[in-house]
Amino acid sequence: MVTSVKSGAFVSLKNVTINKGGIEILHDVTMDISVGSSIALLGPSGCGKTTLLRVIAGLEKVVSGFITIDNEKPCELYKSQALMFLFQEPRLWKHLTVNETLRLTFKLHKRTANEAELKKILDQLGLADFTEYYPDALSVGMRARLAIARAFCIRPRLLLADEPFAALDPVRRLRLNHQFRDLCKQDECTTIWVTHDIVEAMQFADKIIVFTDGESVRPGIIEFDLAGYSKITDPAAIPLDCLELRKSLLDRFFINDT
Amino acid sequence: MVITMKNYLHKRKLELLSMLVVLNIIIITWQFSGERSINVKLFVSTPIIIFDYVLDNYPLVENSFIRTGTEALVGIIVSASISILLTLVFFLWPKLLTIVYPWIVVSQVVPFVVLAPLTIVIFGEESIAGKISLSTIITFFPIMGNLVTALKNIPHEELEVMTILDANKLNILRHTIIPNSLTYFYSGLKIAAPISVIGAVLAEFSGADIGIGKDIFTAGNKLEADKQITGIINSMLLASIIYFLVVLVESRHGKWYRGVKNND
Repeated sequence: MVTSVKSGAFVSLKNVTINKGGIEILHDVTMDISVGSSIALLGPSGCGKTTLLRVIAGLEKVVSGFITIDNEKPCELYKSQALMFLFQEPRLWKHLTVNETLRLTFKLHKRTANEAELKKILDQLGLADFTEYYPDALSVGMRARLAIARAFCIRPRLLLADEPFAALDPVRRLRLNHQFRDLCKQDECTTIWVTHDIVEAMQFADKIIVFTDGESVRPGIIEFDLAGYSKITDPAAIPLDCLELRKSLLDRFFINDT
Repeated sequence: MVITMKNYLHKRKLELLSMLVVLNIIIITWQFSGERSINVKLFVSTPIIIFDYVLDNYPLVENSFIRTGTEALVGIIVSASISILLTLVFFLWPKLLTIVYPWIVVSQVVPFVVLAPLTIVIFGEESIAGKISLSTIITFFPIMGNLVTALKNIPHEELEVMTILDANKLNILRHTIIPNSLTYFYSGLKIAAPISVIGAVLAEFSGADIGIGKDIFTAGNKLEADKQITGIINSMLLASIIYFLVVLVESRHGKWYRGVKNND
């Protein structure tokens, strides 16, 4: 359980407990996430990161506790379309081309597709030459980019991302991560994202929330504020203070850093 | 690629060639056996006699073919329409599915041979409606069953995307339910295509003024093997034509659908 109360909390979880098939996945979680921040959720597989993200999105029912986003229930946010979820797999509409996908997203957002806006997002994500392609004809990376384009079409205030680039190679992943962060900054959206990559989390997040799964601290959530650490610009040359943090994070995972 | 008769024949050249070879072997063996054995000639006639019969009675054969074909085709169209409509109702009110579907399954136990005379009593011997209704009943379950399976197997991941985007029922139907149901729908139609002909023929057995079923039935009673086998061959031809029509319609769904189909 962690309590991190900040003034102007955008996402607020109070004593949230979740059961799945009789197994308690999250127990009495309390956390506040401030507006505009970028939060990385780290932890071993099966510790409840994705479940927490789905709970915030209102896709999972809580046993006890409550969640508010901007003082509203998650389902209320669907109506104002201020929330978007980037799933591990792109989940695209296979019968729609790139162009049609974005137009439908605009339509669902009750907005008419703005040609300039459409072009800008397609250019930014390198999809401008593939507008008439169906998802099946796109590469894995392009599908991930289309999923990002679809997410940013609705200009979300809260973006939840569950390892959307997990299937990509490290180079493409890094490039996409940069594009993703640029879009987040541009739209000033609050981001909560799940990752297994510690350096990636340290590089792009304002704060890291580590899920521990050890017997002594089970279940537990520990927060690391990255404000006092050096900025990682090159993942190959990590500053000394960040290296120490990395070691500390790895310890939390119960992994020997060899 | 949209299927036309020309590119279908081109694509399936080898398949069609092998079919032709097998067909030739069957015809030659059949003709040879018919000439050698009186029993074979009596019960299944010979290809040459059948060919002569068709030439001599072409208007009758043609009319029977068109009538039964109409009954089968209209039957499958009505059945598909009812199935789509019911699926739509089940999508809008999912609880109805659990109430109604078991009755649809149980209704399949009713023997169609019993239903055939009933349709004649209700609609009259010469009416086409009775035959269409039996063809509809017989083809309903394969189509409906496949659509219900589709409805139960809609990927919840895609529904979650629609939930998050606050899509309304119409958009969910258009962009999630329909695209994910098409392969199931066409599978149902492909099973229903040949049995639609069986339904129409079966109804004609019980009473009809014209039709393949009537020809087969009367010829069977009079031991007119040429007429009977002509009817059977026409039924097979009809089933193949309706099946091809389904394939033709299915091919019109564009590139994305073929991609999905290949992945299935």
